[in-house]
Amino acid sequence: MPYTAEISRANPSCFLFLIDQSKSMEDLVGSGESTKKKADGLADIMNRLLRSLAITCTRNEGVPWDYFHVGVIGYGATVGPAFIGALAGKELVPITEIATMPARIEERTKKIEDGAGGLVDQIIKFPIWFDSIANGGTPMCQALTRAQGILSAWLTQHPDCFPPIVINITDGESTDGDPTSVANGLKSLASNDGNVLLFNVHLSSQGDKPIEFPDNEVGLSDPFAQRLFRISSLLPSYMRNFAQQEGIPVSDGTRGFAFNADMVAVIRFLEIGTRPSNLR
Amino acid sequence: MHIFAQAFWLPKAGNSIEEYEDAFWPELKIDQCAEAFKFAVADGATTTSFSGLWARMLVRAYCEGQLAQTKLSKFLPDLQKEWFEQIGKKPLPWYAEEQLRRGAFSSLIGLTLKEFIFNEKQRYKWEAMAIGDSCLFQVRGGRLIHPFPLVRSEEFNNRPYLLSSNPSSNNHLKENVVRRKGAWESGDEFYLMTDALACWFLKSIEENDNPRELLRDIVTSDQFADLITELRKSRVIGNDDVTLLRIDT
Repeated sequence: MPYTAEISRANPSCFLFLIDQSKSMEDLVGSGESTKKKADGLADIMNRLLRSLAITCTRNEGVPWDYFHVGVIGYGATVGPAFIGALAGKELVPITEIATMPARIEERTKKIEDGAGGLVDQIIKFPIWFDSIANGGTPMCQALTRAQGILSAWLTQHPDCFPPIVINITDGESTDGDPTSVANGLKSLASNDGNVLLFNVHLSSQGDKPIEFPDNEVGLSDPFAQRLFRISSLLPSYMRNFAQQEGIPVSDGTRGFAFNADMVAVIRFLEIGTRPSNLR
Repeated sequence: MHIFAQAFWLPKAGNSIEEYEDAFWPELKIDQCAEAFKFAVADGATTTSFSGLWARMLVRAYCEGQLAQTKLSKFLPDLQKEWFEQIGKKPLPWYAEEQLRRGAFSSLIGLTLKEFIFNEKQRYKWEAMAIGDSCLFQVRGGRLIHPFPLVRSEEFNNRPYLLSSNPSSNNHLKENVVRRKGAWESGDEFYLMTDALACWFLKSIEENDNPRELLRDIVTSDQFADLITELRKSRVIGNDDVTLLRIDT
């Protein structure tokens, strides 16, 4: 059965993020006080995803284990590795390096339950691996081609791994052609455990409400969103089960697609140990 | 009453002994007489850090009588504070600090065996408490007569409610602590297991196999390791820390 390979230090998997750094990411998204540039929203999402992934891989005595190797390819004026700080220029790095080498660490305030029915403010550390960039066109086909090259090499070295997951975060307007056939080429890559998964996050300037893991295009008024939905992989059945346990309605047609949402939930769908139902 | 009890354990394949995060109590083999005995097994959640320590604290606390129904709310805050103090003393990197903030999580299954006189006859009773998916199985005449708290293999999943060292994660604890009482007879066997082995045990019975036969005669930790390695190889048991506490009456 596909998508059942154990993710371990001896048999790690791979996350590859493709992030849109084009000029159009300067456009605003949201409304009222929550209005911000799409590029800032994207940097937030990426930093949250990496933070969540690093914490998820932190084990026993508070040490990260290399369950994943992670790469981030930016596409805009150029196409290439997008980390800033000590990781700048690196294509794929083990999660330990992500955890230990953010460019800087900021502090943010989060409201948490106090255990007695109230809420208290808590300061949490928020590492930064990316700042927002918005410059040039949207060469999505080039980015997907680059991803195919990186993952072909990865799969040669890790033939039995849980299939790599590619998360493409964009406003959807590819300027170097229709990405469908390149995306299909990427999804045709496979380990012995199944095909590469391509998930897409679409950040739209339209103020439509967020949608996560839809099973059809109804509600996606933006044609770019519709196309990204169509090239997104179907969620494997075990991920559908996790989604269901989190109260997300799913069907056989549910795809790894999010519209104006962060998709951090996908980190919780990774089966790398018991996750208590009461862990927030 | 005379009790013989022995624990067997094995870390997840690929992990070192130091990375084993289940726990059991008592730690040494028991072969003795007493009016009451307490046993416990716990399984620290792998997605949270410092859970092995939390699991060890819980089994010990149960066996020292601190987690009885009336005492849980009194002793739990002390245990949580002790856990935090043991870890939170030294500065931690941001990711470990976040794991510390989330807290550790663990299942717990505790069993108390007692004897008493009723109508001038010797009687025996057991009391058990469970949080999460570690299980107790009472076996009589080679047959499973009481599984607790889970009764079917399909009830196991990767999202159990577990006891946390973080008070804010225990909001629904009362509804998730299960307690049960029963009677036992001399010659009964009790098996306490963490989830991977317990799930295999129940599934084997559902398929009309007799898993108890395989666990019955294990004497050494090597025999136990051989059995678990074989079950892992044939993929009938998940790759997880495994703990068995076998109690013969």
